[in-house]
Amino acid sequence: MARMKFICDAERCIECNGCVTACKNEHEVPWGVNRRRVITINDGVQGQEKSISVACMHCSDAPCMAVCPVDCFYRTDEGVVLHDKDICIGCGYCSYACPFGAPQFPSNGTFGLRGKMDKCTFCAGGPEENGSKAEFDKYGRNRLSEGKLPACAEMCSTKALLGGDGDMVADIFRTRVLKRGKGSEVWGWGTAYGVATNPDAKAPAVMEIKR
Amino acid sequence: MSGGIQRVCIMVHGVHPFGNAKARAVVWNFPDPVPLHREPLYGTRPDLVAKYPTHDDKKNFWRMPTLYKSIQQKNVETKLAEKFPIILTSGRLVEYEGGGEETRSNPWLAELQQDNFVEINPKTAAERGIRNGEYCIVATPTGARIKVKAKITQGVGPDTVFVPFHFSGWWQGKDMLEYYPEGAAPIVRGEAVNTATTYGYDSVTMMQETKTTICNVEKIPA
Repeated sequence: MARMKFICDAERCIECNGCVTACKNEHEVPWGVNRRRVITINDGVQGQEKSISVACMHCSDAPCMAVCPVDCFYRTDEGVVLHDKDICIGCGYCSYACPFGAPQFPSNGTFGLRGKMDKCTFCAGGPEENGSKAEFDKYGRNRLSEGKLPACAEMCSTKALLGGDGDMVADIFRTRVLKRGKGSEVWGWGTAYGVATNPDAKAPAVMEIKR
Repeated sequence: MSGGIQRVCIMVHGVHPFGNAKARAVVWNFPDPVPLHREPLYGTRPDLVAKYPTHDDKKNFWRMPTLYKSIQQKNVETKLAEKFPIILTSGRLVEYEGGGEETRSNPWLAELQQDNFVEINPKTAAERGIRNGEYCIVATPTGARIKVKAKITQGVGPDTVFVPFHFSGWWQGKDMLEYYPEGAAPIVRGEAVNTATTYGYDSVTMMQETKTTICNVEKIPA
């Protein structure tokens, strides 16, 4: 049985936000909820800029699942962490627990209350019937049941974001590293801009985080 | 999304798309094979203008009188670069396209870039007391004073600022939402940088010189 995983190669990510837009479009995610985000550090600093695309990592020992007071989370056979919006009480514990900031809440609750938690589903929908309108309205499109991979990984313009069976993803990543090495030389940074005059150049101690 | 180029062209037919074009510096079929116009009409380097003056004015260029040298010389003589010492360049954002009306009306894209901004070097900003994220004024020789958010970054040098050009719907600091027909306004509106960019037209194509002009950036008093 496949064990679904995401990996985003920070050397390849060009912050095009294609993954973000693909996810938003595929599931019609409301304004204010960002199932997937691209984080960029050292924006504008030559040679130091790195971007990575982050969404739910579908953890093996998911903190969100562990803290939920109404136990609305479940895991599919393929390792995808999903939840049931009908049971969710919008307490926000999962959001506090998650190290990636994956569980989010739409800002349209009554009296400013949180609505139902929403997060990346690995394009695997929810407990409703596969492909039904109820499933789409609540959780977005179920691509996995159609034999497809998540929209974000499919859309990635540089194939930095890989999503799918963990063994295959690891194989692809390993092949890349073996063939091209690692770091910015993968893209020929030194050829284009010259190698750093200080060969021991390290990232600055304080990093600026954008978004 | 399907990876068709990889699956079909490369793996099946062995057709590898790669560039083998060469950029030639001498454009033999243009009136000036090595470009004569090297310093912009509005620039910060009078010494380079003296070394590389631009074309003479054209009386009739596609039926329009089009000015080059007279403008460049006048700017040098009036020392315009002392009043506007920073180079202003305009360019693209990944989230938006062109004038921006269509893409700024798309909710997925609009959420990603919600304000027009000016990228300023930390040194330039510090000299003016401008802080990251606060509104500031970019003023140019056209008389325009556009209000944009400051984005302090090392991505531009201390002598340059960058403003993206996909925004419109604000005029000199005022949101023009009330002038749009009901429901027609894009989700995101902002200053149009071309309110501020200056005169200048390419000697062959008449393409406007909006990518380089001069400006000053001012803090908005509290």
